[in-house]
Parts: sequence; C-alpha cells; structure tokens
Amino acid sequence: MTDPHSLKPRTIAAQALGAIEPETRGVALPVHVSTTFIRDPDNQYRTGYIYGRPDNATVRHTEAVIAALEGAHEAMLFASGMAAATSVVLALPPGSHVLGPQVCYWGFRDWLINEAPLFGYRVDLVDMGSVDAVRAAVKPDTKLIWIETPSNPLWGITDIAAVAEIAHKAGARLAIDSTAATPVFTRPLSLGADIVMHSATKYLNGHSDVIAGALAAARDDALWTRIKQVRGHHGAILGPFEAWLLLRGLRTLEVRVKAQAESAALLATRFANHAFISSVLYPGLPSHPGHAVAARQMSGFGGMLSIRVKGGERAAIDAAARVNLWKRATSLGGVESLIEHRASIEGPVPLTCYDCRLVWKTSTISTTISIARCAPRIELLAAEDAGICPVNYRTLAARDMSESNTRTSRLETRISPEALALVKRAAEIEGRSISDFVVAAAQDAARRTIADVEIIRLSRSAQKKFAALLLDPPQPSAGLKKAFKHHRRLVRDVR
Amino acid sequence: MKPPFVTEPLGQHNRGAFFSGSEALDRYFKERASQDVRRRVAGCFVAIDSDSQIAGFYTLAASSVALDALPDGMAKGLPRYPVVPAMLLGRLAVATAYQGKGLGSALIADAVLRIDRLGIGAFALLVDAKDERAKAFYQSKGFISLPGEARRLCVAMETALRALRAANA
Repeated sequence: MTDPHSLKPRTIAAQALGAIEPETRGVALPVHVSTTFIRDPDNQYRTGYIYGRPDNATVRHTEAVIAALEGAHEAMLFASGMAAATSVVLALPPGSHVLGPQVCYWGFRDWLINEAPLFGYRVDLVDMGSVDAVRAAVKPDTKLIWIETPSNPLWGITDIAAVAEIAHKAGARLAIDSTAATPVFTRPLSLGADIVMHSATKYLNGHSDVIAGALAAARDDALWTRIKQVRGHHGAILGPFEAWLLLRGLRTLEVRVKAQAESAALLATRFANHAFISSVLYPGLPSHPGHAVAARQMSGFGGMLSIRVKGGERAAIDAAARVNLWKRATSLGGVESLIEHRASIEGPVPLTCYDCRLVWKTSTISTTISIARCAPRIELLAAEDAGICPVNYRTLAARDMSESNTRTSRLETRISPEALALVKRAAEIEGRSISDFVVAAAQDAARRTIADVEIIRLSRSAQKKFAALLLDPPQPSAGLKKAFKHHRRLVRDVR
Repeated sequence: MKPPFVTEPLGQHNRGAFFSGSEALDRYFKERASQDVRRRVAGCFVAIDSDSQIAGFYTLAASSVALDALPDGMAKGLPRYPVVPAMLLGRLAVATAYQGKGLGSALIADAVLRIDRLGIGAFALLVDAKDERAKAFYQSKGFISLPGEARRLCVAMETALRALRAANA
C-alpha cells in the first residue's frame, strides 16, 4: 500500500491520510466520544488509550493529517489558537526571554505583553520584517523567537530561514504562527522553524464553525514533551466533535486556500492605484516590502489583504458599512468573504501605527468561481459593494444601458430593472442626480476599449450551428453574390 | 437617385434629412449614431450620393461569440478559444428614395469589404434583424438564422469573402 506521507499534500488532506473505518470500511471516520477505556485483564492498556484527556482517536487522526501537511514529527490539537500559542511559551523555563513580533494577532500580542510577565517571562517585541532588528534584539537567555508571517493585519513578511538561523545560533527555538500562510503556501519546518502554530479555526477548518488550535513540531525533544504536559495539565484539549469537523474541513484545504488566494490577488491588483484607496497591503504585490521574501518562501501569497481607504478612519468605517457581499465580521479563513475595520477591534496600539485600514478577507468558494468566470463584473461588484469606487459602478451601469439614450426621463422604460437599480444606487453613492450620473456614465463608456465588448451568448443549438458554419463555410448563396454585384454597380469608392 | 455612391465613415454629414421610414432607425441615426462613434462602441458608415445626400448607413461593432456549450467532437476542429471574434452589423437603413434598388445589399457587401480591408480577425458577420421583414431580407442575402435566437442571423466571413472574390473575378 502507498505510504500516505509520500503523497502530495492535497491528496493527504483530501483522503485524510487514507484512513477508513475498519468495521464498516466507511470512508468517513467516526467521532470517537469515549472518555474512558477498558483495561486488559492483566491491567495493561495495550491500545494506548487510557483516558479521554488527551487520548482520543478522532483527535489523534486529525493531528496526524496536520503533521503530514506540515512535514512534522507530530502535531497536537488545542482548544483554540490561543491555547496552542500560550502553551509554547508556558513550556519554557520560567524567567526565559521571549522575542515576539510588534505586529501579529493582537490577542496573542496582548497576552505576551500583559500575561506572560505574570508567569515570569520577559518579553520584547521587535519588527520581525527586519532581520537586523531581530539579531540585535536577541539576548543570551532568549529561549524563543515567535514570528507570524504573513502577519495579521498588515500582512508583513518575516524571513523564516534567516530568523531560524539567528534563533538557533542563540540557542533559542523558532515558533511561527503560520495561520495566514497555511501549509498549502508555506512549510516553515522545512525552512528551519522548530514549531508551527495554527489557529485551526481559520483556514484549516475553513467553515467558521470550529474554534481550534494546532501545533506541529519538527522533532521530538524536551520542549515538545513539555508542551504535551502543559496541554494535558492545563486541559487545553480539543473535543472530539470539533476535531472531526476540523478533519472534514481539512479535506478541502488546498482547493479552498488556492481559490481564496486567487481572489485576493485579483482584488489586490484591481485596488492598487485606485483613486479611493491610498494603499493595498498584499504580499503578492511587487510594491509590498516583503514581496521578495514572500516570493521565495511561499508558493502563493494567501487570501488576506488590507486596504487603506483615503479619507481617514471615518471613510474606512463608512466603506465597511456599505458592504453587502462581504460580511462585516472578525476572524478569517472561512468560506465567507469578510471585511473588517481592524482598528475598531484592536483599539489604540502604542507600538505600531495602523492608521485607517480595512482587512479584506477574500474568500467564498462561490465568489471565487464567479471571479474566474466573469472577473470584471464581480470585481466591480466587490469594489462597489464597499462603496469605494463609484467610477467603476458607473461603467458597470453604462454597460447595462447599451440601448438607452441618456435622457433620464426615458431611462426607466429603456433599461432593465436591474440596470436601473444600479444607476440609482450609483447616483446615490456619488451624491449626484441621476441625470448627472448618466452623463458621467456615458463619458466613462467613451473610454471603453474594444476588449470590453460584450460577449454574445447563444443557445446551445445556435452555438452548434454557428460552429458548423465556421468549420465548413458554405458556398455563398446567389443573393449574397448578387449583393457584391450591386456593390460594384452602385458604389464608386469605399473610403 | 444619383448613383454612383461613395461610402465613408460618418462625419460632418447632414443627417437631418435622412428618412428611411423606420422611426427607430431614423432616430438612432440622428440622435445616437455619432455618440456611439465618439464612444467607440460602433463604427457608422454612410453611403453618399453625387449630391452629397445620405442614401443609407450601417454600423459595425467588434463582438465575440461564446462557444462554450459545444459537443466535444465539434470543439476539436475550432481554435481553443472560449470565444470567437465576430463583427456585428448593428443597424442598416436605406433612405426611402433609394429603396428597392440594391443599395441595402450593396451596404452588406460594403461591410464585408471593410472588414476584409481591416485585416482583423472575425469569423462571422452577425446581424440582429429588427423585424420579420428585415430577417427575410438578410436571409435572401445568404444570412443564416440561428436556432433559438429569434432574429439573430449570421454569415461566415469565409463564405462572404468567397462571394467578394467571385464578384471581382
């Protein structure tokens, strides 16, 4: 039988390591709920299962899939991403020095600043985008460097291999929050990291219905053993139902994540240089400061991007308020597309200046498929939906008014109700009268190129007939030949 | 009627006197045609008689036809495009004074000639006939109606160019 670990990650995930349920040979594994297990008559536990914390077959199988995806020695699931992240720090000897990122998931940064010292840890936060800054901040008793790349919510990039080298020279370990990258786009252990952490709530589960965390270790060592003890003693385990849902979500990880990244890249490109947007933060853009490193260590740039809307905080919140297609919500990595004014969540941050940005969490498999099929229209809708580019809205409306003249008094009888709704909304967004708007739409349409011409959609049978004409053009009819004779007779010059 | 005609792109012509008998076409020609040309959504070409009066006009626009629902065997013989380029003969009208004398069909030939001269890719010339009478007119000129498309007809450019070559032979 094929060793599942030799397969491609997408196959490993899709087949959940090829496991079947032995009794029925079902392809979906059961949820193991038992909290306790029968001892053998000689008082042994030969199955290895003693007590449900932490012995659970569903949890273990999900852990094995994550370990395979990360190329790890082993993985462990936790009750949440925070439980996973804090367990790494809590496994260090008290008094250890920890180097953390200035920009990362704010909940963990808050814990590092305010809670970790209560347990005796000393924490410094540095700019993880600068290898020199990291090197300068390492101390003789630094035991852990924690990075997050791409880092929420500015999607900054840390050079994993370079920081791993600094950590190891200093006798420290490198742990990385790879939630936004996912094992689909980055394999941090192969770049020298010691521990990978995921908020499995996000892309790994992918359906916004499970809170879970995961750690994956490069090797079995004292730190990993200690983390296991911390999880067991603190009871930060994941329940079997959540583990089962996570296992199901993992099966589609690669297709989801790639589709989401495709959408994000499309939006980032379209939003770059947009009149209403001052900057787009997406590692896939060559203008992004971490682009070169990202291109080296990632096989894709992920599904997350942030934009800074011109006009300050009020404009950013207003734009988010106008969104319909994107849901205003926190978290990320689910099949829904979300948008969030991040500064409203995090509040004033003393260490970094985030100014006014919106985090676009491109997602939804359905939206992504739509983007692939009719990119310009969906892009317009997405951008319009945020109320940030009424210019495009005009073009969209103009396309739908091909048969109308620009007299607004007749507009309602001349264009489709759908197009009329677009026109009305666009005029409202721009704060213009409908007639002013329509004139502007016509001006925009003047800038259309030949590439924008509408595609004619024929019925299936008409397509067949049309294709038959192209494949085997019939001889011209007498009437057609006669048309050219008329032309010769009547037209002296074709200018 | 004073042939021979000259055909040329719509410019500073006197459009006010044009009357074809079709209110929609006349209104389009007077109110929209130059706007469409300016917006580059269509080209408009007119036939001028020896007194510089407009005898007829037609519009051409680049278009694409999606071929995404073909049976496998059929798609094989075609270029691997999801869409094929085509030209759309959007509108065509002849002034009443010149009707019934072959100018309408000459304008179809004129369109084919212009497309050929442009040297651009176009597999077919499509037309949307405005009514049954117009549909019958285009059918008599070799346009083929498409099933399920009420008044959309087409002629393969290759077929039309064969007719052009035959006329020049």
